[in-house]
Amino acid sequence: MNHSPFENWIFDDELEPGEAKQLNAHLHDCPACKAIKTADQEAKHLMRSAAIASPETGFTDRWLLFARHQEEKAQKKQVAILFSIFITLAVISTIILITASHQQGIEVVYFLQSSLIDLQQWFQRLIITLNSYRFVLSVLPFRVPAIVWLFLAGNLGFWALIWALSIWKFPSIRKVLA
Amino acid sequence: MTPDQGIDPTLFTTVVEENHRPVFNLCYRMLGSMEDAEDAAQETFWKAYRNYHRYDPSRSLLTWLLAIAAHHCIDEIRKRRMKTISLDAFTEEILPDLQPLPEIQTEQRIENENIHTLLDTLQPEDRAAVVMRYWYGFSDEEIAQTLNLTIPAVKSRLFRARKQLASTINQQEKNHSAEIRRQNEPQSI
Repeated sequence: MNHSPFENWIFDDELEPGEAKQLNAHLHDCPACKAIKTADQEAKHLMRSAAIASPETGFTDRWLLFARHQEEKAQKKQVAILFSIFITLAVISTIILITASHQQGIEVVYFLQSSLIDLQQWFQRLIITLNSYRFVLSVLPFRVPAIVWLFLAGNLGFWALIWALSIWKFPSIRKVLA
Repeated sequence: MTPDQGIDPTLFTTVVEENHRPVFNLCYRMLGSMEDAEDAAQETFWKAYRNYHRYDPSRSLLTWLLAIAAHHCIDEIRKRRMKTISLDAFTEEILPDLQPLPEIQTEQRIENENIHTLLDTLQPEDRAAVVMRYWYGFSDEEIAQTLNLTIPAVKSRLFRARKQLASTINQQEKNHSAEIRRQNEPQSI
């Protein structure tokens, strides 16, 4: 006996009335599919009738203890991280102080100083650039004729429409090809 | 308590008290033992407490907690690759505050054993979807929201899970019938 598509319809709760009728007729004649249907109903009944499992009494108190313990652990971890950063920096500084000569020490200090100055200059340049962009953006709309803006907006709208159409159309083309 | 509060865990105990049963039940059905369920439920409430500022009050608090619990249990199952559940674990499955009669205890134990055997055949995400559907009556949309899945994905998972559960029960019944036949055979000779 051909069980397809009935073996799948057994688990489908959204069958059309015609399909449901066909399935019932098949179940009447097919003991194998009938057994699967009965097993499905048995599984549902078993789970729906099972009690909600409860923890032992005092769950909230145990959770509070657990939470305090976790908080302590998190705090200890934070302290450990800060401590290890401090120790690492201290070890590196000590190594530099011990190994570097007086001249090298001065060079390291100069290097750090110049790096800081470079960073400061870079930020200043960034701020100036951003300000000039802001100025251009505040002036530009009044200098450019309205017709140019209309042309740009129309162009953008056209390409957005093409893009939206491609998203909408491509999946259906792919489905047809598949 | 609003999501902006929650510095002190004591404030969160109301949330724990009101929701620990459904969260524990989900963990228990997912993991299969009381100890694992207790740990998972504790972890769930800890994660919820730590991330309470992310909770959207327009959503149900229980749904949010169950989402955390389900994801935690899925991760746990993947980590532990729990295949079998020892019978010892089932001796503790009875609701302790109800203290049922010994016969009822045995019935419950067998029932829970059957449920665990069945659920254990499912993939973790499918198991979570089944628990949410049958124990909490969640709709496809609610399951999708809780497990971060699309609705078609939930439908597909539930379909696959139901097929698997029915197939397992069907197989168990076939084995049972075969066993009875085997037992009866020597008597007929």
